[in-house]
Amino acid sequence: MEQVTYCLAPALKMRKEAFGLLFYNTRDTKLTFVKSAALLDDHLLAVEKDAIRLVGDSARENKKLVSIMQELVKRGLFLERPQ
Amino acid sequence: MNVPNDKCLAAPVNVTWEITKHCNLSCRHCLSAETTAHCPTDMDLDQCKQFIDDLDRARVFQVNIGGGEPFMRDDLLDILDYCHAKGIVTCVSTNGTLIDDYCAKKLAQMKLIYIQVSVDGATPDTNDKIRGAGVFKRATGGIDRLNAHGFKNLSINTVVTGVNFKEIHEIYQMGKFYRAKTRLSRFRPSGRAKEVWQEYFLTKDQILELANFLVHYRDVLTGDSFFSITAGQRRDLGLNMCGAAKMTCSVSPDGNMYPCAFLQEDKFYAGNILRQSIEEIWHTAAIFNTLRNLKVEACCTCQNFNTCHGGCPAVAYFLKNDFNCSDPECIRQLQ
Repeated sequence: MEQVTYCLAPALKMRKEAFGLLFYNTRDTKLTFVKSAALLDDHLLAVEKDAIRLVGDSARENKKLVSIMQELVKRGLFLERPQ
Repeated sequence: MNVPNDKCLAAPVNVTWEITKHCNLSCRHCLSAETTAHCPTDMDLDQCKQFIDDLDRARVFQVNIGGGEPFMRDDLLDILDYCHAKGIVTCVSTNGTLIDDYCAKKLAQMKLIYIQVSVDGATPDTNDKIRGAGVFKRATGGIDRLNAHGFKNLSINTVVTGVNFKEIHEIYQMGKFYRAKTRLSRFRPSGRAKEVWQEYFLTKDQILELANFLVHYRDVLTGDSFFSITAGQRRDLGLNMCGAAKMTCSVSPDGNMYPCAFLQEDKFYAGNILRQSIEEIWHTAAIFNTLRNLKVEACCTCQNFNTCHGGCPAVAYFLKNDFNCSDPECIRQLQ
């Protein structure tokens, strides 16, 4: 079973919200709202305190989700950790 | 993780925590009408730690610690350390007079802390009229000690009133001099400030001039939003709308929770964090839901409604005895 983990970037904190994910930067107290229902699908990803794991075959099954996560990596919110 | 609810955030982003009612000053415009006497209702250290544990469980990101004067508590540094160990950012609002070398050194070693020192004038004469004789010198002494020990995240907070309005440019320069950010806060008729409202409030012309100042000095922070003077240019500075019960809430020294520090009266009581979890209060308190659903009718047709939602409910309530009216200092109505 394929697993991909995205770790929160340093100094960031994250919370799951009804709209998606809420990020807080401890270095400047700025908030980032990421509004995406795809990030709330418990069958495809697990949101933990400081990481998100794509589970099952989600990488293959849900290209949109992978695309969103890669965009969040580009924005500096996550670091991709290979398994 | 918290269970998300589509009507509000899972938990506050930040919580304002008045950690003691005890204060060594008696500022004329204090929002909390604090006391110089001993305060037996303040939570003890164990209760504070339990509350911080609860904040951590709820995933609250930041705690704004005020009072009273937070440094009147002998255990404040322990409380700060406990917050930081949980990864919770703290922002301490202080009058600066009790920050000695030992304290400044300890604070400079902390990574997740912001400090704002209250100074209400660019000169001792103006500041001390409001905050008491000799306070300007003592407050700037605390700032000097923080700087001497290399403290980084420092701001100087000024409540803008009719008394110090003439010095806002000098106050801004004072921030530069002390290597601190300038933070301007709105004067509200809450707590002891009700008694001096008529003496201290800004006139229409002063409000308009202040709006212009804020538009031009984009690096000035506004800890509480000047909703009345929110212009499109300042939207990215976070001056959009009231965050009470939506992004934030307030806890008094005895653990009572309210929508914000300016609405700490019985009718706005939401719960007590010594008896309930913060999440339970956040999701169930009637006053919080009232504020979340508040739609100020008088403002609904305004083109700025989506960015301000009627302004500050606390000012509207205290000046007009009604939440459901527009902010009396709304710049669009003043122009």
